[in-house]
Amino acid sequence: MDPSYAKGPSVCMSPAELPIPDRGLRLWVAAMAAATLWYAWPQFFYSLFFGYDLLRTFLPQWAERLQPLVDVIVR
Amino acid sequence: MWVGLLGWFVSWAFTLALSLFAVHRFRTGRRSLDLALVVFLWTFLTTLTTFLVGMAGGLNAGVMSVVSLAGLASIGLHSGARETALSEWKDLTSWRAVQTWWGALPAWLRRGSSVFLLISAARAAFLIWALPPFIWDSLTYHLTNVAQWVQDGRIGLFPTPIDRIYTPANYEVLAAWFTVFLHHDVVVEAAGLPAYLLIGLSVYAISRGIGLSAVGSWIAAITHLSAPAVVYAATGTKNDPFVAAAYLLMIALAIDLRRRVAGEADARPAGHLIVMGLAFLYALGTKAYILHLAPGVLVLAAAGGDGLTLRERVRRLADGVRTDLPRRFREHGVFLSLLLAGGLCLGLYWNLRNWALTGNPFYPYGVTVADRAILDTGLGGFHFDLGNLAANLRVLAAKFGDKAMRIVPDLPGTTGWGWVAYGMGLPAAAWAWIHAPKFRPVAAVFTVSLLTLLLSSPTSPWNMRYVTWFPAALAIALGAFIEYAIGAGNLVRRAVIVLFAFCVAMNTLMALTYNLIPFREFQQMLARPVWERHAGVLHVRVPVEYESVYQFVPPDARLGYNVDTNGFVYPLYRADFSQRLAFVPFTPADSCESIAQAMASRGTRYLFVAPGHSEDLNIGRLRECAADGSVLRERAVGLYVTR
Repeated sequence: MDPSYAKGPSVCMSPAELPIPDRGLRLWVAAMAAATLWYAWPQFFYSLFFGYDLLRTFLPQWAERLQPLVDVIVR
Repeated sequence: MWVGLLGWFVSWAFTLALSLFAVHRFRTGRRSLDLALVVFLWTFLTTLTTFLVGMAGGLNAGVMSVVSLAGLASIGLHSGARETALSEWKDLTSWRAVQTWWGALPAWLRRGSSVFLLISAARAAFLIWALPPFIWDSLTYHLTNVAQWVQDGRIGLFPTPIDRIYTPANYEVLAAWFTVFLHHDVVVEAAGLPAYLLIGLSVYAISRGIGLSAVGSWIAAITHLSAPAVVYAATGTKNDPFVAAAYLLMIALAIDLRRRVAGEADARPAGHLIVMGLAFLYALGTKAYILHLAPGVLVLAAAGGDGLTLRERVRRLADGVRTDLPRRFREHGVFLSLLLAGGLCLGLYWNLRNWALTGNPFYPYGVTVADRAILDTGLGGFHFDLGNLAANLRVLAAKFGDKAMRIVPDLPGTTGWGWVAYGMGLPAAAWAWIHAPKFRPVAAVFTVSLLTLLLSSPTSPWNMRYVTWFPAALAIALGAFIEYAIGAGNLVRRAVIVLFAFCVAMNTLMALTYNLIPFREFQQMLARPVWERHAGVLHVRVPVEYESVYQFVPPDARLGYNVDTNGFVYPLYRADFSQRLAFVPFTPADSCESIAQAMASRGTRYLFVAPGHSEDLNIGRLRECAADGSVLRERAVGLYVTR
């Protein structure tokens, strides 16, 4: 396993050298996508604090419309 | 100001030349590790210089500039030292080497990295320039030390109820270097950037050390450098990044040492061990929890995977040290002795001072082992027992996944590891554990350090700030995974790149405003001249009472204050440290006359208190005195003046 370690620094592996078939890697990537979705609730909305605050400062009437949704997330 | 800037420039030149001269003795032949060593040695030597001058009572722009000029002239006039520093500079900053490295990255990573680096640099520069310090611990003790030392021109203790000014203070010494030349805190937040840089270089060097390519290592570095807890702390006037940086550097050196001992490179192990010792001492003089992290590094000595038994590994290391150490001391004995003496100064001074003054090296904290108080101060402390580990693991479990709230700099309720670490790093760690055997010792190091830290760290809602180094393990695993995945079919390759870019972007987005500072606060700060952005004007953490000081107390008058052991003192100094302060102790049982006498005996007519930072009963007593009107009156909210 791990030919890159044996051969030293490399830029990237060629598909022929991959010890794991493409199908296996797809499952790992799917696991990452699932973990990202798990993390997204509620951090996605928390991360939008920046955008919401921008709206609240410069377009307060728009921010007011979103207030009920913000209340739900914050609660 | 221009004279201060000139002095600062000279000091930059001196400390940089000194660190280039020093790194020559410890070069490893691995560029990323050598660059990490330069950044560490610069941090170490700048702190040491400021510490020695500050202890001697010369902590002002004039003396610091003269010392720096003399040091720079000494290096410049000594042909050997000058040539060494210049050749190291040329070699380590070789544009051709940067071009080769950059050119070897795939185009998508070059484009993404350019955007990430530009936004990160612009963000850091803007936040440093626009905002004053606002982190709780900084306003209580880190920067209170800095302001008082720069005012006094001397590093030392002073009367205050904030007992935590006694804690090890290497970060504060370095922060003083960032303020003393301008006599102002305008760039004090930049004091954390050397640690941020060192963290990135160390993660890269660890990744390279276990065999990742430049691509995987760079992805690991970006992943960790984008973690919100790491980004916030870098410009957040906190000392934790320096402990994390020293710890990661020790791991990077230990991994390279393993490689050398296993016969993959010329084994001259003493240099590695000396720098590891210096990094440990630097961290010890910054925050004592490096003691709890360090056992994890020893795992690398025991871990297999290099074809050697533990006994063989130790024997080879001992043999190497036996031949290498005397040779190094024969060649550079004076230099190494001075460096080690400096390390002992920075590492042990604070604890020895506390031991001499209070009988407890860890003052104001106590130490409890298995429910038995070894050092009891009544102010909490380190608890070494399994119950503490269980309690801390429960706290970690509650914060895991950052579900409880948005991530803000003090990290209450979250770990702050962010999108990439959780979304991609966790599955990648499982993948790397199965498929990349050389990742396993690294995972073991981080896990052991995490457990030894949680075994002893005080259980508190804010203790995740001690663990900002942990996502580096997830970052390294992700680097290994992506290195493979981008060589796979188009679908996998594209999915990984898009997911990685999205997660880094989400981390970066929340870091733009610390996920905390409202735009109206930015507007308010930007409306003021940069020299008048006092910490008390930013009302994110600081109550409005502090602002009244700037309006009603003349800068040349002495200001009395009465806050509790966790109250903000730093904002009272003003951004240019012009306000002289005096702690005025009193109790609610004291008469108004005796409070006024306590103020007069400390040379002040003014007394400041603030809710949440002063005892409520003390505030109530002052209100009664003001209502009585015989000796005190309320000049503004929270500010009392003698009649």
